[in-house]
Amino acid sequence: MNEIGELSLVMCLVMSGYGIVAPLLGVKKGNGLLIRSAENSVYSILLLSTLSSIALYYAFMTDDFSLQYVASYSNRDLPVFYKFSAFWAGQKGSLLLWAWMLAVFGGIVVFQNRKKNRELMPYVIVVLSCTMFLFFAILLFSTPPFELIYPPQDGRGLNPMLQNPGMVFHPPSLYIGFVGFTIPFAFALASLITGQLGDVWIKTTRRWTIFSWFFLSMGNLLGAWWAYRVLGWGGYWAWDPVENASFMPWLTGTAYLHSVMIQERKDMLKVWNMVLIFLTFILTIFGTFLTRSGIVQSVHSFGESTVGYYFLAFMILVIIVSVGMIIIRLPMLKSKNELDSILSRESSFLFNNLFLVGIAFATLWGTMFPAISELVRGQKITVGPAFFNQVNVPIGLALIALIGVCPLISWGRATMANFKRNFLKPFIVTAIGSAILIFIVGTSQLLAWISFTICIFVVSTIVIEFFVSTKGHMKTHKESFAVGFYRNIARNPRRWGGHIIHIGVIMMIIGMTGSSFNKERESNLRVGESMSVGDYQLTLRDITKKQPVPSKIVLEATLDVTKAGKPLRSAHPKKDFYLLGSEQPVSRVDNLSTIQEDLYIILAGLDDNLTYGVFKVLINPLVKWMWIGGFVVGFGTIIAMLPAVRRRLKNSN
Amino acid sequence: MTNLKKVNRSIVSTILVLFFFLPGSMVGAQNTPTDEGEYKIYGEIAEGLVCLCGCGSNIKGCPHKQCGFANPVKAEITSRIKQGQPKEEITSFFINKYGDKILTTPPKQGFNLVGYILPGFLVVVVGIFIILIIRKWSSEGHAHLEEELREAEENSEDDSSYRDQLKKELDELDEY
Repeated sequence: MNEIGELSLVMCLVMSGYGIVAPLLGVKKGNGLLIRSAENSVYSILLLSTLSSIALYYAFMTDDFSLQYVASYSNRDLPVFYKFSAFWAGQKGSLLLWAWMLAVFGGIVVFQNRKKNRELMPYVIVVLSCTMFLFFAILLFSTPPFELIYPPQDGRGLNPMLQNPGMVFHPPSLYIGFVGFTIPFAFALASLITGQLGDVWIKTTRRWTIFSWFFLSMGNLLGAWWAYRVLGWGGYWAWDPVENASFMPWLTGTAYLHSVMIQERKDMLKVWNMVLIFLTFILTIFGTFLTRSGIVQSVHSFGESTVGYYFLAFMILVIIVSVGMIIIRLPMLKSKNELDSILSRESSFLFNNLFLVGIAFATLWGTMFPAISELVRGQKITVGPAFFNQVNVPIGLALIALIGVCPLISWGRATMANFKRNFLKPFIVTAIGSAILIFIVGTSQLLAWISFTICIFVVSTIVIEFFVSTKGHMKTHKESFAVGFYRNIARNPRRWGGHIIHIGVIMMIIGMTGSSFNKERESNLRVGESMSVGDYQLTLRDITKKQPVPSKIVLEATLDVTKAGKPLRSAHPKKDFYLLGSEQPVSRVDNLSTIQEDLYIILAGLDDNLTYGVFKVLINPLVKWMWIGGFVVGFGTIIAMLPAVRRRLKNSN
Repeated sequence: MTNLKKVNRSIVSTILVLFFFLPGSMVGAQNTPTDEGEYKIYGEIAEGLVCLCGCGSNIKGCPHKQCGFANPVKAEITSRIKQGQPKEEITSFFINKYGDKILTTPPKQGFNLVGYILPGFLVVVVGIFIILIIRKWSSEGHAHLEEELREAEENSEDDSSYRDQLKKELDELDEY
């Protein structure tokens, strides 16, 4: 099987090379057959990369430790579920997964467009094939997944921190997001090359963009959830360079999703939309470069390797081609239309873009600042979460406030009187809410109070918008509230899906703001002793030792927990000792989570006789809002992708 | 053969557990303050210092429970807090020992100020530029609109059917 896998990769490289040359020749000679054969080359890459992936899976499932990659990331005791995810635990497998996803998406795009966008497709295939060529070249010449070694008796096993459901879904979700943005990028570049600069490329790739954005969002969120549950430091986002690397394309992708609406409505911002989609794609490559080049220190990085050079070279090529094409086509991209007023929804979208790109820039700036400082002053510094929070929070708050302002302004030219009328009700709700908040939050945490106040404002504008619009629908069509509400959403799922996403984002912001009120305590407890954190009291009942599998020993503490004297469920923080391959024991946090707060308990240390342990206990308010908000964002995205419901309703009407 | 494997495995297990337990017993001795007030000061200092073990976290958040760098630093902070040293003095001790790179956030001085100010500054500058350009477009558009209105008035005729059509389309647009 290994030979089949490797041979398939060689064939993939050849076919992606063919996919670059054949469409260009086909267009030059006007040979349709050549273009068709290039399309078939994409299908063949899909087939061959699938074969190669199956070969690697087969090696994992059959414990074939003659493969260096399998021996490094699996062992005989590893549950099948984690053998499945071990595929992408390391550099080689994750790059193969990436290449395979790209081949799948390429195949789907070619199939979807077999009868349309015929002028664009040759260039779309060239762009996709170029990207695939890069990955297959890396897989063959830099980090071959089918590299053979003298087989050891057993593998080194999967890093225990990666043996978590969050880590099974987090990387593929991120990769889908990263890879997905290749499709709008390919269409954008193809439209520049062909000079077809209308909104065809935008309409063709709209669902691809939302789909990619959805997975990028979920990938980031799952990563945060994994960090919170597994890393055991009590937080979910540390502004680590690699976290930043996946956050930046999400920001520019979000900006693009908003600004593209102006192009669709007013045929404006063509250059800016091109820039945003190119920037998003380049940032996905930049993220991969950061993770895999070893230039930054991160818990996520794959270590130093030559892979970074490939990505750097590709990134430079993409920048040159993209910038070059935009400059060449600049006269054609200039818009005849202009914005009518500063008080318009279009303007608010522009400011939304400014803030989103501003945060992306600040994040990039902070990530690269240690290197810049070393270059300028010869002194290496560290840029940690406090820097990012100080720089990004003010811009972020302005951005969130804009979510609330946007629905209050109409498209085109809004009048001040109209704006004031729309603003009145949310303003009253916000004023009352913020006054009440002073009693709940207090005045010591000003930033948190501002953040919650903005959240109230945004939610009130969206809810009022839902209510007013549904009421209008009820009147016009003489429907009940429930039917009116459903039909209102079904008539324009894109708009209402967007609003639902915004509510999800606000829930996440509430969760993030809750961290301003975190409490923490670390105590050394003997069996029978107690410690207090806030209203909670924890009493150590016992510490037990278990060995569920030969390669793992689990030490589990049982603590009786009460809140304000009322007993809650007992807590069971653990510490896992892996006997093969792992250098560090892993803390398994226990988290007593409610909508109000999390009681996050870490078993930080133990003595030999299991009579006492060191416990780190945190009260993290409102964290659950983060995860629920994430679900709401996901739900809203699915709603936004449902145009078919609208059409069906229209037809039935 | 299988029995021999089992015996080997149990010996390896015992050795490894002992190996892990020894450092375990060392961390058992808590290296952070037990007093709530002292712990708060400890937290503020430890969150401001980078763990140089390569994890990328701060001293307080280092995921390695037996970290060779974070644990001695934690112990040092705790000991200095107990001696009554102020927060700034303790942080300065570590800056003198390891340089600025020990700080999770660069001090707001010299070239570092560029780091703090530039993103916000650019957002403000670009924001002003956007406002100015929209105002320019808006006034040009306004003048153009007035001109069209004048022309329309000059060539006025009964256009009620067009008005109805326009109203209908605008209503539809509002719904969208």
